[in-house]
Amino acid sequence: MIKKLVKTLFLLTKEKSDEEKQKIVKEFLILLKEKNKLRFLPAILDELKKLEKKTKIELILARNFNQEFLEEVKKNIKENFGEKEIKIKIEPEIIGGFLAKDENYLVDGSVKGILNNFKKIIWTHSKF
Amino acid sequence: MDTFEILKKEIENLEIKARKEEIGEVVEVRDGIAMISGLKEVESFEMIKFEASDILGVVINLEEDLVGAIVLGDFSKIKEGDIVKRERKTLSCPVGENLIGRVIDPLGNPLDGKEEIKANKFSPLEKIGPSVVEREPVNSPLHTGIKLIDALIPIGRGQRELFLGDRTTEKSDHALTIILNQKNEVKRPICIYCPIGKKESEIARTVEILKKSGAMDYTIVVAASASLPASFWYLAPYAACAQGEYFMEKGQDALVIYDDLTKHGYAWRQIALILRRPPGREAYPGDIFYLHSRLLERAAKLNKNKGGGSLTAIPILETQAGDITGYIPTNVISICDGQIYFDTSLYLQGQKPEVNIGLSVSRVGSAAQTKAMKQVASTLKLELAQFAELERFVEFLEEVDEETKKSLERGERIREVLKQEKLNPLPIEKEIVSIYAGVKGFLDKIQVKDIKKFESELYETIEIKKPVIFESIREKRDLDSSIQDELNKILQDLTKKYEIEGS
Repeated sequence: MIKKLVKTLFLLTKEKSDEEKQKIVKEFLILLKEKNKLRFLPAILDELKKLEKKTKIELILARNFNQEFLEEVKKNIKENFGEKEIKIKIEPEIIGGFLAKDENYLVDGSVKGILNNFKKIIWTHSKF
Repeated sequence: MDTFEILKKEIENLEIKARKEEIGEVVEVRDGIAMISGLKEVESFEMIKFEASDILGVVINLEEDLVGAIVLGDFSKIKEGDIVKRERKTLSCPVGENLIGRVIDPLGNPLDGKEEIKANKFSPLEKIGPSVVEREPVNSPLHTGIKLIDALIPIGRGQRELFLGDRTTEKSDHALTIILNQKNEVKRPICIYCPIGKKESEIARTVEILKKSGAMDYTIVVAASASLPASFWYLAPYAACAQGEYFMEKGQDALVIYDDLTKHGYAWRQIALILRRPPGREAYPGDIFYLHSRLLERAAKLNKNKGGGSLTAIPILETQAGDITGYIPTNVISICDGQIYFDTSLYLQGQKPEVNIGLSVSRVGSAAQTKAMKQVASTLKLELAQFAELERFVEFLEEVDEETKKSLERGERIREVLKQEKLNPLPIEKEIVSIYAGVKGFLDKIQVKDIKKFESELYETIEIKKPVIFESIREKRDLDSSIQDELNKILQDLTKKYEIEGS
């Protein structure tokens, strides 16, 4: 039931301006209070987060890159994932490069990934 | 090329290009199960890998939004948000001659402290058994080395015979006796012992016994000890079966012992309940029958076109308080080609092995017996049943007539000669000679308490004076009249000796 609610809410607020979005969400919350279902808010928020993950692409960068590099990366993402909204996150742990992730696929262009691949090769050969 | 050169080459060939890979993300970790979102194109029963902890998993549940996978390792190392990648291969394990003499876990990792397994073939754990046209009826015997079983409840190569009994009975040791007996058998089968949920100390003890008697030269142990997670308990019998199928498909004989399937059922029940599959009778999932039937249907006797190999299965089940009408026992009895029921009360009465002959059956029967054994044991079951009836009847009588007395004494002696210590297999020629002595009445004049001594002296005497008797039975598998005459002479002399000493 919550899934359907969240899906409907999502479809309603898709491609609307910020003002309109605020209005819709306000009305949604009022409706919840009227029907005495405010206690479902945490579950609704969880479901919204999941839905966001499904429809957006998480782009993890090692540090703040210049615009040129960002455009290259975005082009690569469009090739692999199609037209989708991108959410950027900075994570220095990946050492360098980027990681583009959506629910089902991953493009690993990070330095950490390459080093892990090295490690795997050395590991399999060290078994002799 | 030394290792450094190989390494250099590999790194040079490494692609430093970002490729799109299929992934999933762990959403929920339950006991031994991980629920994963993503992995849109993963197949059922495919292997997956949890990248961060380098642990493998198998996809069991394909739900609308999530994928449920059992974790083949320590599930506490897996965290929410961990990336999961497809391995793109169905769950398989290494099989082949290199496995003989090794102790492995269901994935093929060694547990005996020796080097890694280098296998020439990987077999899938889940497989459909041979079809009807590929099979032929069971026609050659699997000698267990236990007189009572080989005479009354004979097992053939390619048969499934269930060993059933309470926790306190020694089913495992009797199954082990069968493996020990194969040492000097003609066309020796490769034996696979699969302990499920057993204590590691017990498994170590079993391996020690096998090593001491030289049985590890033809045995593979696929172990899922009690400390391994339920996923390994669930997979172990299928892995053991895959080992046996390799040899069966090559035209050889194989024997696999599942010890025991009760724990296997528990493991599957645990996994199914955690995966939220609807519980049925005794909380088992609806496919508990299929769990065991698909395992046991892979044991077969193949016809000559397919190589003529065979895989014999001996599943072991634990009953509660002797109740063979329980859910799992009735399921597996209906799947197997017969059962041998071990009864604690018989053990306490001194009968070893503690087989309840009335409730035990082999549906293959004498089609899988050597000619010699058929000759001596053909009426044995009926005679013993009649003797048991007579015994019960006589309890209420004051006096017995001569004939009844004779029958009772014969029956007592036959029962005594069928007794045998555990882990002490006898070759077929010795079995036949013992039963012959009992059935032909040579023991009637001897006291019951002297029969064990008589038996061992009989073997010694034949080995020293007329070894041709043993050799002939061993080679021809038949008891022709000349050999019978020789045997009669030896028995007559020996019985005279015991008669005089006894009285």
